[in-house]
Amino acid sequence: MGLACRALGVVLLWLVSFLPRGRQEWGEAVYAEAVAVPASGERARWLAGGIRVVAGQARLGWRSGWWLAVAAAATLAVRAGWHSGSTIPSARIDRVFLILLVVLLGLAPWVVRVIFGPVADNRTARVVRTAAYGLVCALVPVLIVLSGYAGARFENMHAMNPERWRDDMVSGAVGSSILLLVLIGAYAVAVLIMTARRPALSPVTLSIGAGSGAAAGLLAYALTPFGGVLHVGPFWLRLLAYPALFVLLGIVPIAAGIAVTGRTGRTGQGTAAGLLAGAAAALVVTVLTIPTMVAFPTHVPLKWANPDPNVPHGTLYELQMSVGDTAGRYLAVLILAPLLGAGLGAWGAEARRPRPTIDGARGVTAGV
Amino acid sequence: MVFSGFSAQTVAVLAALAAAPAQWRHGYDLARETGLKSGTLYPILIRLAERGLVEACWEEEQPAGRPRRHLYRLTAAGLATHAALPAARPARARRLRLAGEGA
Repeated sequence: MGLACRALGVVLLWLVSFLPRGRQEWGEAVYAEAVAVPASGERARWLAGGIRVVAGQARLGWRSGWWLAVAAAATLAVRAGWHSGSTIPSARIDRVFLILLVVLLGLAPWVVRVIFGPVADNRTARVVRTAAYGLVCALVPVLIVLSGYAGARFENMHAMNPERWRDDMVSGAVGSSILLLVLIGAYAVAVLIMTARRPALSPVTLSIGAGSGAAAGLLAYALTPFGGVLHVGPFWLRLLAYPALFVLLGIVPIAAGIAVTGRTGRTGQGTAAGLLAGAAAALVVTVLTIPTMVAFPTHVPLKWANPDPNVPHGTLYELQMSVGDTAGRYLAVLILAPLLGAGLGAWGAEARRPRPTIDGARGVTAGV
Repeated sequence: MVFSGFSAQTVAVLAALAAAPAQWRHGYDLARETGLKSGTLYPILIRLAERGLVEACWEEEQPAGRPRRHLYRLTAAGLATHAALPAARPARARRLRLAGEGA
């Protein structure tokens, strides 16, 4: 605990140095007062509170810092995904898509704030928003890494019909870019709205929905880290693993809907919890699985480019194709999981809905 | 908001300072008396100081082995403001604080 207090004190004094002169003395005052606080968790909490005080004093400074950090991250992302010198016909479209995506993710919080207000005034909303929006933003490096590996198989390709191949690549890139922009934009906006002040989802809804979904996503990743069920155990066990996984994951939003409706008495909150669970599971499993596949492509279920069993298989091209095609499956997961989650959550919420009871003497009364 | 412009927590701080208006108080003493955490107490002290209701200074003597502590007391305007508050009850303010300061 002494080490924690010292670390917090160092952070506090470092942050104080960013404040204007007239404001510094208050941060220094909190730090100096910590000596009087018993050396324990209480002193650590005192210093942590001091950091909050300094953050509040430096609010304008932090906003500038936020924009600088966003600009730096966006620049890094665009540079990493630029693939200069690429011969792929759709490279320019991919670059435009990347720029539009980072701009979208940078602006979305401010646009949503105008309509739905700032983040809801509770710690759960702030934590869920930070974690979930972080996962949505993590999709950017995931897509960059995926396109860098799986897309490399199209470099210097000699197609039998070059013009047709070029048209197919360009139209495919345009279609997938629009789809991804809409999908990732929808996730970003949904996270921001669900944790904003005006819709005011209950902290119970946010914590149960997001928490259960994240746990389900981690479980799915643990069982299918390379996009397919782990090759562990007898064949019949692996055969049963897929339906078992779907059933298990299906139970999560139902349970979230039941739990939240039971605690809030509102089926809308239960439905929202199911949707959150589905979305969180999809985000977690996608953000974790795709980089794992790129890192260990030989473990990804192999797809043959040529159905002839007599030609060599497991070539670099086939590995890249397998990773790319398997990753495409997670696009479907990102689309379907929140919708299924909402439906299953609504089902669970309806089952748990408080129903009026009929009392012989007093007539209909509310009950559970 | 309990009274005009002041939250229950601010009323509690004013009441604690008004209990011994001539005495300089330390921040931790105020925190223990009002039950407020540092992250809540100091923004209140900052706002009261900006309004001229509280004055602050550093300890005069430099103690050995620790930094000088910050001290606070009500100004004349602060004392008058506290006196004008309708039947300020620190106990009620503390109950409101316990009900409001949750997670």
